[in-house]
Amino acid sequence: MPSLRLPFGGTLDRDAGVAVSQPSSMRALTNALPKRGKAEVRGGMVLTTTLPAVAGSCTAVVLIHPLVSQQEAIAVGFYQQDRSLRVFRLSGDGVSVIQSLGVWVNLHAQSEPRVSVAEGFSVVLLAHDEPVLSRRAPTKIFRVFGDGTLGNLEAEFDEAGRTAVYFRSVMAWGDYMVGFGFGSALEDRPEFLRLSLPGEPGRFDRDHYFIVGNRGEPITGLGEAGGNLMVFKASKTYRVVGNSPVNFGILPAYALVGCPHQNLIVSVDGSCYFWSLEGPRVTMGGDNRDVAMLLDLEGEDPDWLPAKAALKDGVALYHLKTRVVEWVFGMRGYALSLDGEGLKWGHSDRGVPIASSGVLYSGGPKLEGLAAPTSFSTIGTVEALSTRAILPLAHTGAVSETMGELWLRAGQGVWSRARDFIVQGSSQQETLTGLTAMTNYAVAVRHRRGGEFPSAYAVEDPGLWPSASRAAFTTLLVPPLLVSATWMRVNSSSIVRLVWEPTDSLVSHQALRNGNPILTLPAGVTTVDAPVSSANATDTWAVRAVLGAFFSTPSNTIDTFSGVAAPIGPTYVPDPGGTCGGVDTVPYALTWETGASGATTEVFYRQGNNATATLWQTAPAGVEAVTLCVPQSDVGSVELGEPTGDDPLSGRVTLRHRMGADVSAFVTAYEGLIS
Amino acid sequence: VTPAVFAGAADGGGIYRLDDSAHLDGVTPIELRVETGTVAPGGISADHAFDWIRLGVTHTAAATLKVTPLVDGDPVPGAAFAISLEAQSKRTSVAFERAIRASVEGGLRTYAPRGTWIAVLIEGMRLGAGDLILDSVDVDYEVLTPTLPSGASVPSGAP
Repeated sequence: MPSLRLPFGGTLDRDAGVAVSQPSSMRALTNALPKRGKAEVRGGMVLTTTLPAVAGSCTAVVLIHPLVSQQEAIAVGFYQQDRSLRVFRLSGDGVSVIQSLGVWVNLHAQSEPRVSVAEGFSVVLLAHDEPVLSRRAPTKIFRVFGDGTLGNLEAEFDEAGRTAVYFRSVMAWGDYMVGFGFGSALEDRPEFLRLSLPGEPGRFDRDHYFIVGNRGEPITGLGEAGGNLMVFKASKTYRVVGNSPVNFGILPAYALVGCPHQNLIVSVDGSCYFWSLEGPRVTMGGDNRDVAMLLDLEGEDPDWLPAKAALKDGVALYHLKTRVVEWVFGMRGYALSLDGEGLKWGHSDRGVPIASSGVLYSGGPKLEGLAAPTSFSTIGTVEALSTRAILPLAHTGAVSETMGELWLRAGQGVWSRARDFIVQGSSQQETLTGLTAMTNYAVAVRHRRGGEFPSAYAVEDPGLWPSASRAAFTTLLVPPLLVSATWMRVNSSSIVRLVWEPTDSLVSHQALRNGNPILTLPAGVTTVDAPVSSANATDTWAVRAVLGAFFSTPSNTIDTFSGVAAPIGPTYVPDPGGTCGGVDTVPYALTWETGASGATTEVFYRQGNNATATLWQTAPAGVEAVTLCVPQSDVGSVELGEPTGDDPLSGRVTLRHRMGADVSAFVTAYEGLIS
Repeated sequence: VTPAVFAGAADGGGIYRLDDSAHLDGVTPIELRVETGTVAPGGISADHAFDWIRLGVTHTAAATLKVTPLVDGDPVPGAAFAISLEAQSKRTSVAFERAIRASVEGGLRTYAPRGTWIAVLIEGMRLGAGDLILDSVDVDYEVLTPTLPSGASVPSGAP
């Protein structure tokens, strides 16, 4: 009796004889992958960690990407409660969240949390894959060997100057970082493809770009095939050829085939697999090939499979060990085995819907060629301010390419990695920011080099590190410095303009008049026009810092007269070099200090006893000297001073300030009186 | 360096390692459903008697499997059988051979099912970590009526 072997995941070759098979005979291969003629049950999914609940629970993990040099990873969580995208740093084995890099953006209400990431030369770029520019989040840059914070990627693409960049997606390609979908701050050009400077992934020159296809038709994705950069639009594809600005060029590749979303593209060993609007295809840089035939995507949807998520929510991933490319749409996956001859497909019925995927690395040297450090830092006396603390660090045994990690614990909470810094010299200062005022903190420091730590610091619990590398401090509320308190009129109101230097830009301030708070100003405000207590009175001014229910002590004080101040210290001396118009007059120099910004100075003269003082000259604001032409007959009979009723001299000169209708008192203090 | 594929959940903050030997997706069992190619050994109009089925399995994981012969697209009544596999410390290959017998009259009478198309449906799940590989499915058959010669009319009836 003859025997026949039934195939898994494919059809029989007609050469097998008269036996025939149905075209759809692979339809039921669920949770198994065809491999060398066999069917191997796929592996499962092991929960390694969960992104923390910070704004409610995390809604979805929309990105996982390796930091290859550090054997770590970047993950982005979407939090529906405040629609925030939050960035975290993970250990390379995916087991622990080791640092929160903070909120990337709070998304527009109609924007979806799809992101892309690229790493090159230890620089990571994060882009928000949002088609509408006005809803798109700014592209973020994270330097692995930087200070451990996220920053905005900036570039000067037009006359608007250096502004934030809003790439729709990014990809590392050779020595370049590639971003698309952003023309400039002034021009929406979704068909623009920009290249960074070679080897400098954070620097984009305004002239290094391609215009891909028709204007206004957006680029949707990037892939790499056969050394070429494949640039996808929804139903067209272009190919960037060349390897430097000298020979770069862009050519149409496929007129009717494209890929609508970046997350549906995965490049493996020189081949680029992408899910087009018609289904999965593959290219090696030349022609593209339909690999969807056996899937029967146009046929009846199998009822034993879970519902398929939308195309835009799909994820392309590559299984390294089993050599399988899989596109997952929610809980349904389409798995294409590359191991063996021909196209072999299977389905996945995932118990967990997938939003992102990445290949992480662990267990190897974290930066090749660097040995574990033996150096360490000690922490001196911490200068704690309101929301920041300045740490004096002394380094012992540090060599080049050593990074420092600062860990922080508030109260009796858990330790977390606050920030990284580059260890430089034998000592340096580092500043912790974002602290809470009036709070007890513990801080610890350790060195890292090539991803390795000194043996005494290898554990992830700073409480077990040597005590010299730890310190405790309590944040304070430090008063600001009151710089000036100047009387003036603003819109006819008599006010004193206070200017101060805050010790912490994140705290509010109160203005104090004669010890009493009269105004509260929000953080960031460093000047205010405060009302005076009454006209022509002297008030004592101060400011103090405010944070919630806490107040600092008052700042230094300044006494200010609420009116125009009189000129200061006038002198009156013969001026042989002065010029007078008449032959019978002698020049005298009258000088003073104004001390009142914006005030004109009026010079008065009274001739003879009991005569009325008359305005002699008016000096413009800022002028502090005039020449007085005294009649020859009066020389020796004129004196600087306040006129009195029965002055025996024939004349007296005096001064006062004027600001609009406000005048100061006459000068009462004189220097160098010379008759 | 150990590379590993990770996936982020779309329904929460979970980060998952895709592990070839894991038998669960988080806490959800992975249910296997494999249907072999549907074949007409003697041609699209031939009539066959299908007698024996042999299933080869290599595994380390404990598993349960249900094997159902399908003739002309339908399960053969009474012909399905179950297989239980114990966990093994190293990969072990085993073969199971069963006669395909449709039963009637409460199982008092059995016969080899006749038809044109044959396929085998294998369902089940792993019960613990480890491998489970379906090596082969072989069917013994006898052509009762060969396919019509070229140019002859072909009756409908294929599923």
